[in-house]
Amino acid sequence: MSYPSLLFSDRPSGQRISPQVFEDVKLTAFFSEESVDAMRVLSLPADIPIRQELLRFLSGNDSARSTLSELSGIAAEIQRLWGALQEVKCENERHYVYVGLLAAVGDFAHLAASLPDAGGALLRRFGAYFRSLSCDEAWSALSREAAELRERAREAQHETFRMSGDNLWMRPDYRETYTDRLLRCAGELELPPINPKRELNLRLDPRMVNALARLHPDSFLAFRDFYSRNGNSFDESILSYRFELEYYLEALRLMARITAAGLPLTWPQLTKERCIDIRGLYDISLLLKDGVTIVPNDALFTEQEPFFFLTGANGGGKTTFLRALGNAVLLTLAGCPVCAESAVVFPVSNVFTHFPQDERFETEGRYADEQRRVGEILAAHGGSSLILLNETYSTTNEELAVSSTLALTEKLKDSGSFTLYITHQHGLEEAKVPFLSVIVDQDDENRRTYRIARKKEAESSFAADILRLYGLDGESLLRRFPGKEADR
Amino acid sequence: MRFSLLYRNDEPEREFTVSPLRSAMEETIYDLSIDKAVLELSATGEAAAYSLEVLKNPLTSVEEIEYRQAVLMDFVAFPKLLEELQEIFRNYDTLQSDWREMQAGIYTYGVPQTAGGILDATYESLKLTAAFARRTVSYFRSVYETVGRYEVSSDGLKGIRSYCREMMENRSLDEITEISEIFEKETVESYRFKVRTETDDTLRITAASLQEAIELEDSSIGGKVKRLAAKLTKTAPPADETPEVDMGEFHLETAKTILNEALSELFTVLSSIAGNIYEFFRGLGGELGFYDTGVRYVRRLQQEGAPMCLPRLLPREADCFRTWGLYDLHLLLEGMTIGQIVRNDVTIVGCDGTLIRGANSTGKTCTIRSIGAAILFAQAGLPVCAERAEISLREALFCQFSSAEKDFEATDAAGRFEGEVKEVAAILRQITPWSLILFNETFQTTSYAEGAEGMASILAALPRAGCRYIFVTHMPIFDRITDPRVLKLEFGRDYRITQL
Repeated sequence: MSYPSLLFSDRPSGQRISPQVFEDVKLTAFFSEESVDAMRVLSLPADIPIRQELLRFLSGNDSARSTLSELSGIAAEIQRLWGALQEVKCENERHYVYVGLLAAVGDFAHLAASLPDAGGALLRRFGAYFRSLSCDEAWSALSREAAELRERAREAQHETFRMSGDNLWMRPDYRETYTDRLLRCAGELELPPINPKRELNLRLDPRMVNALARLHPDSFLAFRDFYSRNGNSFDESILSYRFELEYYLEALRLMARITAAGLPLTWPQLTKERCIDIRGLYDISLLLKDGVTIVPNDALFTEQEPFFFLTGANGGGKTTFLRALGNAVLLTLAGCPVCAESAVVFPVSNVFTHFPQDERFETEGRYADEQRRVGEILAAHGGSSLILLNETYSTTNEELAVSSTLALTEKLKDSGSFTLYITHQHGLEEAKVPFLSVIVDQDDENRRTYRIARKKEAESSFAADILRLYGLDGESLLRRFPGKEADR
Repeated sequence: MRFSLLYRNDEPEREFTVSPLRSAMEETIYDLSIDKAVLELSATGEAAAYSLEVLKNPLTSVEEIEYRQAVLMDFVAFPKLLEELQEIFRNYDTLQSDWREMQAGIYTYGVPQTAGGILDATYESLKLTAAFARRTVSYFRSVYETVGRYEVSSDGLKGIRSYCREMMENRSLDEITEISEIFEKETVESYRFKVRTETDDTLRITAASLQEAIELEDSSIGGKVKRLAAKLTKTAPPADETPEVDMGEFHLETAKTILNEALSELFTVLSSIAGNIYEFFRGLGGELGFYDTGVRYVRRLQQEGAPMCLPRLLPREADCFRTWGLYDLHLLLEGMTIGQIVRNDVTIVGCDGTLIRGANSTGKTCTIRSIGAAILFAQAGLPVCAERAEISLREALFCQFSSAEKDFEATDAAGRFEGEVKEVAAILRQITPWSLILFNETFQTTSYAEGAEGMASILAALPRAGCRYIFVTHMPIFDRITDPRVLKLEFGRDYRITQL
């Protein structure tokens, strides 16, 4: 028995994206580690529209979305119980935990069976599987029994220890505690709520578990009997739902957040032509900042022009554009809508990023580290990837930087992979690749427009602009303190 | 909840420090020299500091001001009551800090490493907290009995008395005391315990609560022998009919850990409850410091034979400042007799603003200071230095006094002028309708013509923002401003005011 995946019709593509890529383009601000784990295992291109169909369905169906959310919670429970089962130290403990685990699987199956027969191939297959399971008499009986035994297990979850000197007794005794009494008094005095909960996670040792079994002999015998009959009934493949469901739910939350912010979302169209053509592209990580004006840009990579340098003033939006492109392609590959007006995307086989790293380089220099990482990308990109290079070779002298960049460009520009390379280096014209540049409005004190456009060659960066950006130039200071409040 | 003698309705939880106008009010207090007066009148630096904080947060409700005035008058009538309450709350104010200090003392030599050491430390914390809870609760009786000995008439003091009576009769407080009294014994070994635990579905204990703590015998030799016997022979008293499984002595560390968690939980809850009960009266010591300063202020004026009055408070819309025989408290505090001080009647009603001029040393600054002080004192619930007064409440009181040059590092006129512009800009950023702004010789650090031009546009803007102003100046601005809604006053050599 193996549970049907919610992410793959058949099997993954075999490619995995590095989690660092998600970190670099800041998708980790919107997706948990579990979801990123699901997203980084790439599907075959044919599964992308099927995932899109499922997300489309869920975004318009509150009831199904709510069911998926509940299923995700149960999947987390199953994962936790499964982890506990791996650590049991005595048979009574094993039987006890197993009852809970199977009961949780029963809850999951029961709820999954209630999903509508809609939402595309993946969800229909998922629902149908659990509906057929619930029609299976043996499974239903097993599930029912687990649920009943779980209730008995819960009865053994409150015990009292009597302590006198060095001696200890265990007894079933459920009388009110001092804490109960004090909390009642606090409530009657209308004091602010008190949370007495402490982070306690103290494992009962086998002697204690066995003592518990002696206090509840009938229940523990029943748990043992259940385990002896059904000990092989748990199928570990159910554990992957934890990641799969979390991915869909977080994708839906992100979509809702973007829509609420009044920003466009589009379902990308996949193409077999080697091109990435995204219009009105913007970076969702700007959602994390208040009061930021989001300026959309277009990105066009074709088979003829798959490689661009991106240059221009600091603070002009270069990294934002690069992140936006990375986000759009990653979201496309995961089956999500992308943050743009329209998108036609070739389903690349992988995505690579090369960002400056701040860690200490104890065994190698910074340049050596950059070269090593570049080498890894060159070895892995396979001529069909998206490669995002952010100020690569910016930490060495200009001569070495330019020669390294030219060498890297030579290897990538005709490789078939798409590359965007942010750089401040001069003298890259001989690489014979097109340049993009951020546009500054020279008629308006070099104000940044955050627009990206094609340029023929690299422009110098304007360190002085940074000062104006922060309003520290003379005119800005004058504007900030004009005394105009007096005219209100 | 917190009981307050300063606020009838306002939640005194609002800390003084969070007021957005804090820095502006500090300037106002400084410019009006109220800080000097309060320091001189207060018994202690603490009382002065607290009183200044109160003055920096003027009340804007007549009901609140009258509540405070009535309490002050009770204390003026019964100074002994104030003394007794101050004594009680001096101790009360240190109760919590003493408790915290003793708690910290438990770990003077570091956090214990063994389960037994941790348990002992936790019990010690619980014992101290139980004592803190008992002592806190006992204050309700002390306060009730003290206030009950005086015929007070203010809502504040009558309220605290009836509040304490209610608390003394409260059964929940009795129960808290009763539970606290259990934990008086020297060590954790003086008890036998029952701890109720909760396990989760993986058999991890997630909660431990103390169900029972029963003292073993006393510390007599017989008692010690019995405790030892209980330890050695396991002949713990048969509890009841509840079935038990004897776990033997193999779980000593686990048992101590579970017990420690139960005592810790109880400590957490009891600390929170005691802390919250303590809150009922927290800060009253400081409030009494304010009243002590108020009583001293009244006594000083009485000793000097100087007139004073509780002003008639008017809504802000009445837009009225009218005083009879207004005088400057500072002149009195500097040693002048009341007979030497010229008292003026000041009437500013329904004006957009007031311009004051006069030769040097004719009383302009004294008068603007007296007006500001009268408003602040009135809105703090204190009497004002006048024979009679009718005062509209102001949302805020701002000052820009050119004499306050302490902040200007540049000594050249341009730097000082810029400093003044910054101060005025800061005030204009904070004003709200029904604010009053007092300008004293503002912008005289530049040429009078330029200064007057700058001030004229600012003064014209203030009424449009719903604010009022008083501007003392030597600048030629009287002719420039022809608006009939602007009152113009002039000081003569005899320190008397004339309306132009």
